[in-house]
Amino acid sequence: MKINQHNMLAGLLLVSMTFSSCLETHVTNRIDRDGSVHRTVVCKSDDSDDFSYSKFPVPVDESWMKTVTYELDTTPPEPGNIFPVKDTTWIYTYAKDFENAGEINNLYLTGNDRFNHVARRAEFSRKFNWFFSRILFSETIEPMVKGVNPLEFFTEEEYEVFLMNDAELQTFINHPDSVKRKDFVDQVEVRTEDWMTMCLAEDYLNRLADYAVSHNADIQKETILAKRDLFIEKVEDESDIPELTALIFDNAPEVLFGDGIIVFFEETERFYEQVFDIGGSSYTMDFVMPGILTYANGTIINKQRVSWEVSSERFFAIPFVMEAESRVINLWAWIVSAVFIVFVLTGLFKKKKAAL
Amino acid sequence: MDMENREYKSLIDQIKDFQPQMPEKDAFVNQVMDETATSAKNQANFYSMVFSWTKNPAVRYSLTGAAAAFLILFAIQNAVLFDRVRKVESQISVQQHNTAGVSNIKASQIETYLKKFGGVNSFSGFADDADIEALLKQNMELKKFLDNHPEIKEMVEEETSVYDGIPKISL
Repeated sequence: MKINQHNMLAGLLLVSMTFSSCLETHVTNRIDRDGSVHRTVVCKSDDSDDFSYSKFPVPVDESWMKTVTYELDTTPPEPGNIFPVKDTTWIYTYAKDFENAGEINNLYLTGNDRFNHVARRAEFSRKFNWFFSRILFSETIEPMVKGVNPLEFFTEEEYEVFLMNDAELQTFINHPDSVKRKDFVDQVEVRTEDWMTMCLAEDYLNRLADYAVSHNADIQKETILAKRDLFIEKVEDESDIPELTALIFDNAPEVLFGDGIIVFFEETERFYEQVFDIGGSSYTMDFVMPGILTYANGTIINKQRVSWEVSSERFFAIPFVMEAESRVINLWAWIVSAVFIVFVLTGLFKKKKAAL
Repeated sequence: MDMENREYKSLIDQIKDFQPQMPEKDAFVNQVMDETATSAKNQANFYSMVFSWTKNPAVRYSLTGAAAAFLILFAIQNAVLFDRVRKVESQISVQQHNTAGVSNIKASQIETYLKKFGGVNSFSGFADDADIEALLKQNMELKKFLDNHPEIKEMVEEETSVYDGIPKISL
């Protein structure tokens, strides 16, 4: 029961996470002040076979309005190379209106996309502040595994690099001190591998401990969780789940946990396959807020638009929250206030005039 | 007698002065005067009713306080939001500045020029120290070339500053 062909779980995960998918996906949520959302999903690929709903990172179905365009690459090939560097790029644009964030959540629950095993939810709220209203919109992706918080694992500088996408890394390295920075990026990559191994150890042992408790196995939860360091040591040589389990407990898993452990191994294997499957798939998510942005935890593009790169590292072990806040003017409140103030001032003026 | 009534009276006086032969002139003038007086009285009653609250000190102070509260709330909300919007705008400018920096390095034909001199083919990655050395050397050559050709240097600067992904000149 091998999880994969490689020797190291974390190594595979890291490789899969850094492997870029050919399908570029860009999601835009255009939020209205009443909470309705106009969502567009733009998928780009030079392979038309990529345009299958199950390959998309976000749910899309036949009910969406679809537009197909393409871009032709007119760049001449390099001298001596008769084949063009790129081919036609197909662009599929899907659009749909949602009355509220709840409809998006339903879509996430029922979607048949590549990320469908990842828990995601959208939230909308509006706070009335008389002259203005604050509009808050967020999308949260729950962590895939129960792991170590990267904020605690990495130093502050390492965490900044850890969160960078390829373009940001390139900008970071393109600096007068590029050699030192390149070394630092390499160091963060090694640390990321260690962090992922720790996360997998934490997650697997917790699952195994929960199984042991629920099936009244004759082994303490604490005993299982204490095997964390041994798991990290052994996983480099053995990735087969039953064999790895036998190695760290120095006994056959069936003896320790009962015959039902085989089913647990199969389920765990399926789960990790799903986790590995979305490694490397990333997409960008934009919010276009009503009014003017007053806060956002992503890359602010303009006064209304904010963008995030959603990559699996971001929600591997901790929730990834994309949130933005904007303010909209309540025009009726301005008019009511102005009329009221004029009314009071007029009354006071007339009273003063009458008194004279 | 307020301004409007005075204007009416003045008008009536003019009618008396300039149209002395007008039939039933006095009756017409009296009718207009009556209507004007009634209108003024109704208007006064209306204002008296609408602004009756000014006679009650408690209501007067409450409404004045409410109006002042509106103004204060307006000032505070605008100040707070202005500050937050300014922070967001500063983030946009920082990000745009960073992006411009990246574009300038990748932009234009500088890379093509470097390619012409062989060695490092791209700024996108550094394999080892030798690549860095080569890059520095080529940078010096590029600088020398551009110093000797100020018109091209100017064009490069202009073009790269608005670089949109499509090279616009060839060195």
